Amino acid sequence: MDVGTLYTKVVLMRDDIVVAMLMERTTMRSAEQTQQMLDVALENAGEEPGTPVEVFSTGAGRKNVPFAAEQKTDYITMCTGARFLFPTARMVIDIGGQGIRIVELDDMGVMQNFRTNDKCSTGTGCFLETMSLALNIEYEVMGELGLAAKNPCRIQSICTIFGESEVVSLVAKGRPKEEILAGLYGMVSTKVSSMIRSMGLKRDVVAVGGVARSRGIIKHLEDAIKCPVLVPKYPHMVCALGAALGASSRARRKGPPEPAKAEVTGTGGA
Amino acid sequence: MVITAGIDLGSTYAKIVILRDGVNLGFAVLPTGHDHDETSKRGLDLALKAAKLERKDIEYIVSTGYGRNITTLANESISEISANAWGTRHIALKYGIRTIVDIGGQDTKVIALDDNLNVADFRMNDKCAAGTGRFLEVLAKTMGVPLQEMGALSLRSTKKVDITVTCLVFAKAEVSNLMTQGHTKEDIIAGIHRAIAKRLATMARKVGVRREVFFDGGPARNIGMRKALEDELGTPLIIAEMPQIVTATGAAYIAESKVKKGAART
Repeated sequence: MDVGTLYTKVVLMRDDIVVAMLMERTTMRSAEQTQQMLDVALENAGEEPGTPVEVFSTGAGRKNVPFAAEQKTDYITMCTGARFLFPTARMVIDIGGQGIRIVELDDMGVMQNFRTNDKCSTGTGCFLETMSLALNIEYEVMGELGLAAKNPCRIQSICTIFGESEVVSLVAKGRPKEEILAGLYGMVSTKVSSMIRSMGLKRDVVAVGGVARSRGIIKHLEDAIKCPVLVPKYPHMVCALGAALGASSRARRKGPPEPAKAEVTGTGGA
Repeated sequence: MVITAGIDLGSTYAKIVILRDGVNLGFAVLPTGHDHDETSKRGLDLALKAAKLERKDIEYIVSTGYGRNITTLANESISEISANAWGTRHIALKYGIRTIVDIGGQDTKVIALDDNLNVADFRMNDKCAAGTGRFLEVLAKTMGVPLQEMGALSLRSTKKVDITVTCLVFAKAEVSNLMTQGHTKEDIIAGIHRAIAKRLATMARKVGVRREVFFDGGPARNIGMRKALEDELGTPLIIAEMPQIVTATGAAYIAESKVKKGAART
């Protein structure tokens, strides 16, 4: 269960096989929300709501899941999830709603080094949402639209706020939205690739998190670091998957789980 | 008698000052808008009207600021850093200024002056909106408070509320959250001022803060911003009567010294 700043993701596993996935916008009431989402996931998987489940929580709002047996940092769950999907991963990039994290792993999957930037919104989900409003493009199609652009705009800014003004004036000058979008992909890939360069590139590179769903950003990133980037089918669910994997190995260690406490106490923001 | 003009084309406002032998005869402050050249012409004419002069009276024009190379009026352009130092020398000579802190619409600068009031060192942030005038402007809009009222409101703050994030995009979300949680406008605005002051103080400490400290740029008109910065720096600040036009005055002052050195209007 991954309580992100923008979205909450649930992955339900039975015997190490994913049986249900769910994503919703994170609300201010994470405790209730995660309980409801867990029940829906159970129902989707053909189980009774309230069936005992071993839950690990992760993400910025991981402390707001009262029934979680353990809380894991995003660094751990993103690597567990990525290595499960791509056992050769040596570098995992997570671009989430409010931060970018890059972790370097050794051959055995042990964390060696990491970089994070959660002070700046450039390149994150917040960045894309801001730009989708400025460009008046549906958030969902933003990842693809700029791929075909022949003459990408050069965006000078490296700040979301200043970039937004630049986008508005480019729109006013009549530049096609595809070309502006391609410029924005460049802005994100510049930031991520400079973080990667400061650590030293290690193959294979895996990208996870919601922003990795944008094929345009991944393509620009591949060009910038001159290396293919592996992206799972559901990159935004990888941290939740990592948490589920952690929970299932804990459940195996200690036998059948205790009934999950479904008491909902208090409220909390993301 | 030497008459010169300084044009400071900022990201948000254009400032034009006309000097005659060092005396400010007239000035204009207007939103920069889209067409920088057009704005500078309109501004110059407004300032000339205030000074009761005509364009042909002006001997030399120096431009500065973000759009300094766009205006076609200027005889030459100069960096904001130099113009700001010259402006400070002109306006606040008697105070013995050694450090200038300037908040612009899209940037922030800290300039260290030596004992002859020449630029010794500076730090500038124009990459990130945090700590700039834009930070105040956007959050004022988020809160639905007119920018001019921010200062007075923040003085009535009774409880410390902190903005914990750096990025303006995240700060917008945090401010909305604080409002839903029922914190008062006054407390949140004071928190916003403190957040900007903290960033400025970090920059200032990198160049070294020597007294006296001069605070200019539009946000220096905001009393809450001034108080917050004084608290962070631990020193009183000297503020110009019109903090917005310091840099434009500096540009006009440079123009004047050029004329005295023999530069002719072409």
